[in-house]
Amino acid sequence: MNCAFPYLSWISFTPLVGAFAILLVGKTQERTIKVVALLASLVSLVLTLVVWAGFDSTQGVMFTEQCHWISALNVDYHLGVDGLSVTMVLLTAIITPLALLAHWKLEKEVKLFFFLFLLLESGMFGVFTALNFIHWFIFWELGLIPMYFLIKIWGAEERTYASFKFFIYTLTGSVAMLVAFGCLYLATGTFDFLELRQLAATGKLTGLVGATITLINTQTGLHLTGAGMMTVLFWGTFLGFAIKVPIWPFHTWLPDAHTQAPTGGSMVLAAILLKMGVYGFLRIILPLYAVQVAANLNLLMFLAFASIVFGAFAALAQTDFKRLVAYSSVNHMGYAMLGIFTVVASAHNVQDVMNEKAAALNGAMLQMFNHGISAAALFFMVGVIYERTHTRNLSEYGGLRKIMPIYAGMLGISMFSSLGLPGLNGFVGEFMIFKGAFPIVAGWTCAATIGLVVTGIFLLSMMQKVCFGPLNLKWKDLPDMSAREIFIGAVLMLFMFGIGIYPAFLTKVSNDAVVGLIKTVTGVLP
Amino acid sequence: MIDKRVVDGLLHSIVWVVRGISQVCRWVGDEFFINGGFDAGCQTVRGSGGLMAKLQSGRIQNYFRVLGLGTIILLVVYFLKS
Repeated sequence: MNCAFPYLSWISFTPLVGAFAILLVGKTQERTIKVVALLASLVSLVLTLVVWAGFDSTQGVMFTEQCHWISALNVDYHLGVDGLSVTMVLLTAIITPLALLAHWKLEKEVKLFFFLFLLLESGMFGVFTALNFIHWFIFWELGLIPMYFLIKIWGAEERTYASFKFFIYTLTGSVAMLVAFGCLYLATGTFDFLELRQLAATGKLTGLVGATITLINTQTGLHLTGAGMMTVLFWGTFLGFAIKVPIWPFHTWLPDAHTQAPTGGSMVLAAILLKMGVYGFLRIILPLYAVQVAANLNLLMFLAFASIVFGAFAALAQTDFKRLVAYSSVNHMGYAMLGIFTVVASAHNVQDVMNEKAAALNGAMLQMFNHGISAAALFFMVGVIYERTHTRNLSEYGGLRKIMPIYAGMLGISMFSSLGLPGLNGFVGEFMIFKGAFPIVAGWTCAATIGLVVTGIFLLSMMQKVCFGPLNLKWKDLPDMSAREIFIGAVLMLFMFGIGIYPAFLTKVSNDAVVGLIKTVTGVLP
Repeated sequence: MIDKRVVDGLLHSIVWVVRGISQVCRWVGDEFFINGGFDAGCQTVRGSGGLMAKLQSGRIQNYFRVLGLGTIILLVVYFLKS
């Protein structure tokens, strides 16, 4: 172990320990189960705050832990965080206890629910801290299975279809990615992200893949080239992450999964699981496949544009509250992808191109964190009203501002945060993406602004339908938010205002890693 | 008059266009093509699963019939070639 105290292992495995502790508690002791779950997630939060406080972005990867794990495959247990991952670890640590609190009144299968939730948290931490593919992949899959059951058991009417679809989509992507990494391992003999990144940065990766392919060609009579094989591997890995983000047209599992998932499941799904996909683009795709991304830049830019614009238009056509918020996630993740793909674009005529690319990529990082906060808040708000009305049909609401003023206020702030109102967190990320992308990929950036306008329209019309207009008399006796619900909302609002006013809270942590990544990427591009 | 007829009229037509596009994105793009494609793909897999299950019925007579048919085809191909 390189680190004196294995913080990251503790962060990752405390929820797992909590999950197994829950198994020891009697099924009827529901309160104890909930307290154990919350405590386990709070311990991870406290440890994450210690890591956050001790993190020095200039040091690169910190809090590393490395020891041999599977010698035959040259697989190490290798953990570490840099500016890209530490923000995601923090996001996971913040959102999970809030999602658990959102289910404090749960009565159905309490033990299994909280057990699965902690398992899920452990998986998410593992993904953001692992520096070895095998280790990372185990946690990637660990996040898939609990979420499947959370949707399947605690979901709404169409839960079977939604959970099945979620599983099939994600598994298809995972398999494609696994095969791609299997090939990389055959060529390089390592699963370590940092070693693979180094090989890609020095231009040796394509050569090694080419050497392996030559061997296969001689044995099979095929005529594959190293570069051609790298393109195949790129698309395999791309598919895995594109489904998770999700990028248009791999996105339709998301509205179904969100609509059917329980509130906490939706919060975590939107806030963290989608970020695992975007994180994959930062940790794996950009460092290893920069040349392939650059070669397919226009297609990838179109997909980002389609996620932004088609996602926004599709959200506008929704009549289901939760589905609308789900489509807004597709739209918001599209902005992050626009920022990420900008990094590989060539810009010979742009002055200080590094600065613009850093703005775009820092914007994408901010967008990931900010969307995590605002989407969790919006899904929580949907859950609050669904718990009271048992409907998600937007046309059945109306005028709730009169009887639920706190709810209307919190929904309004969350909506404005998602919309990107200056002063709130959503604005900073989107502004930086557009600021960085415009000088480099002006055409795509201009086209993507259509999405900004439509985002405003669908979010404002959602607010109008829920909180304004005449009150539906069916809901005249609805109680406003409880103290617990206000607390959850207030914590999320705190981050909305906090990051909106002081975004350097995140950018000062991510900037060095972002600049390092851009240098690696531009170094291998022709 | 200009405000009501021209400016508001233009605004309302933009609203109709935006709403139209959003319905197309939802129903044609997502529901028909993407979801329809996914559902059809799943249905095909299920259907082919059923077909494979029928082929692997465990009835030895059926297996021999397939073997016999295969042998005849191979013989025909062999004689035609020679």
